[in-house]
Amino acid sequence: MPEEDLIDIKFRLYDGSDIGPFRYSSAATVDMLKQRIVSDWPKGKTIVPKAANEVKLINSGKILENNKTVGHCKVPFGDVAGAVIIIHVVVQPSLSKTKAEKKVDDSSKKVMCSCSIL
Amino acid sequence: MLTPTRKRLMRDFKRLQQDPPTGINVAPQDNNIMLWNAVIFGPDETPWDGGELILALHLLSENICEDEQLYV
Repeated sequence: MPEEDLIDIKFRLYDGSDIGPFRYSSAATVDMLKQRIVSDWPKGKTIVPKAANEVKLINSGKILENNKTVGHCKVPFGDVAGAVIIIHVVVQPSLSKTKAEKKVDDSSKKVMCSCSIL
Repeated sequence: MLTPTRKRLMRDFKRLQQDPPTGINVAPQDNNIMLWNAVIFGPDETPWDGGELILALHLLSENICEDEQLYV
């Protein structure tokens, strides 16, 4: 019987929670995984990606490129067939965190001496 | 040859695969258990916040507690 090239993938988020597992064929691309993550992002999280390009996927100690396939990211020494692969997800919003709390130091206070002529 | 060091590394790697810690992703390079790729996510409220540290961990000696080199 031909082996189906299906891989179970779980995505681990920044706070330790997981999405999935989802089943993908080994020909699925990283870009497809990102689209799925954005559409299936759990509600109630403080950080929410708005588009696939805000999401980075990391597996096997490398950042995965969009055009690579899932089968290409196979883990070395992966002798456990059918096991779930866990991919880390990092969200980088395109607008950096608004640092509206930038404190302007008042160190440029001028020291003024006033002399009064009596 | 499967030395105790290599056995230990394989065991650690299997453990990391099953339950990876949140801020770290690490795996040995293709078929070389003594050379690992790692990505550490920049922790919040640090200068690395929002970024990733990409590392290569080279284990030089068969004694796992000595002689590691870290390349960033």
